[in-house]
Amino acid sequence: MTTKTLAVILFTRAEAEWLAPAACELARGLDAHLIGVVPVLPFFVHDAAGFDPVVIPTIAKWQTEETDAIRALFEEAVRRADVRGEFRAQERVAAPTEEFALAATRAADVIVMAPKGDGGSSEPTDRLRAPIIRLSGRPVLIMPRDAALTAAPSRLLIGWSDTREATRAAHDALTLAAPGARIDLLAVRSGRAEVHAMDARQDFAAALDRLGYSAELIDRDGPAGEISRTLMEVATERDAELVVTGAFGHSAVYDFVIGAVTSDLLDAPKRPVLLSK
Amino acid sequence: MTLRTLAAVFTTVETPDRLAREAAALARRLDAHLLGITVTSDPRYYPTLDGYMATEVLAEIDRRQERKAETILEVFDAAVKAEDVRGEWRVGRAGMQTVAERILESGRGSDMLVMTRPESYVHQLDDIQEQVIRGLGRPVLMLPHGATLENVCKRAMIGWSPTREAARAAFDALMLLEPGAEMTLLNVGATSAHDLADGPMNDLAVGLTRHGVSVNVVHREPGARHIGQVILDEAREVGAGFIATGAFGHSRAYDFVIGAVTRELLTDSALPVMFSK
Repeated sequence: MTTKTLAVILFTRAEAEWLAPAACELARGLDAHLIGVVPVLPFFVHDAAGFDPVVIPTIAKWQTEETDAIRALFEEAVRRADVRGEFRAQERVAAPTEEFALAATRAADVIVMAPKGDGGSSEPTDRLRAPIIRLSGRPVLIMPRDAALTAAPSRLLIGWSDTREATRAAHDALTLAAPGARIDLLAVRSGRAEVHAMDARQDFAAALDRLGYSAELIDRDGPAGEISRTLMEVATERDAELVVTGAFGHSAVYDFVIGAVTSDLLDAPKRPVLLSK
Repeated sequence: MTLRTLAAVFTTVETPDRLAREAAALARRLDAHLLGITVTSDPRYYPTLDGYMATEVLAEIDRRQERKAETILEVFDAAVKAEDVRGEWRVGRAGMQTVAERILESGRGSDMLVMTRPESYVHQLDDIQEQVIRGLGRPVLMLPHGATLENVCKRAMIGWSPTREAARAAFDALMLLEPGAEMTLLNVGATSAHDLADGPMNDLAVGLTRHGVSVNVVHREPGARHIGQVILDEAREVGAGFIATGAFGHSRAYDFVIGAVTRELLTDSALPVMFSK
């Protein structure tokens, strides 16, 4: 499987400054088409706070300027990297922001997005990051500013578990993996969890070997609440260029109670992380 | 996109011949590895039925299940030899787990699962299909009685909706299609909403086209027909080899109230249907 289309979400000018060139590098490395997507956030005016007819045009003007600046950054990056790029900015309030972002990214094989921590993120933009992972139906590559993925990775670590999301992630990873890549399949068990005879992880490893990858099974014991930490520790040990795992296996409420793996990985990962739902 | 490992799942209530033959032929056409999976169900032991479920009865059920599994293996082996494909075989006993759980455990390593739809209503079997589709994280290709997988590589009908599941279905369908194959993205909805859907559908079509298939976008007004019926009618009209659709986009409770499209396609389709979640 190959990546033919990448979509990169550029929320702010500050983010676009480093993410647009990084996404272009990756698009060039993969020989993929790149779509730059700029969602525009709605703004609200509260009557009770004193309605000022000057405010709305001012915000609108600022948004247009911001979008134009992001477009300039994107187009410059596309030109420098010499990739096939396409720019999609949301026309103001034409559709809800989430709908626009989902429609524009669902056509891509992989979506590229910055983590929460990097490059002028704000609360409203951060709130949009989770729905894109949850609802797009495409794998999302979380690209940290200091550890960008620039080509197809040749060392991958897949966090394997018996869930739909992790299964999606494991298979989605092959969209990006370089031919002959080393792919580690990590299972983290807490305590005395049962090991089944019909373990699909072994079948998957065998399938990877047939495809010319070199698959390895890794098992770790770890407390259920710290799976993301174990995952990143093993990633460091194995010097993985890309960490892959399922996202939001549970409902938002459950995530909140347990301290979810996904949020940890979305906040400030040290390595590129591919999340699938 | 390529399908490298296909898993055929046999249950002990259906005759295995057709599934074995069709799956082996498909594996040959796609040059895929074929994994045969059978899970036998163990009788549940109810203490209150002590007198009825005597040891001898349990042993007899056991023997029958084993004999059935052996028959399936023979049929599978013959089909694999006839088509000259690389085949592998797994038999599992449900034991303390349900059959669906066992299938979920063993199917995750494969790119796609193929199952037959039972001819008549079998207690608990419908539920197996639903659980597998919901939980696997791989597309499930359902083969109805009397249908063939012979034409799945040439033309696909995709039941489109602005959901994660439909995006998954469209990209999953690429695994079955040969270069130059035709794909129809079908939107079933009120005429007034056709314009709104057209943009996202065309975006998706462009992304899919980059994978070497030819895609067209179609809108249909359901009128008095159910959505599932419209999809079936359209698929027949264009001569599609299979239908691909997102499955169970809503919760179980919602499905129950609304009467979901997924169930309609699961029970009424004369064509193979691939369900993605």
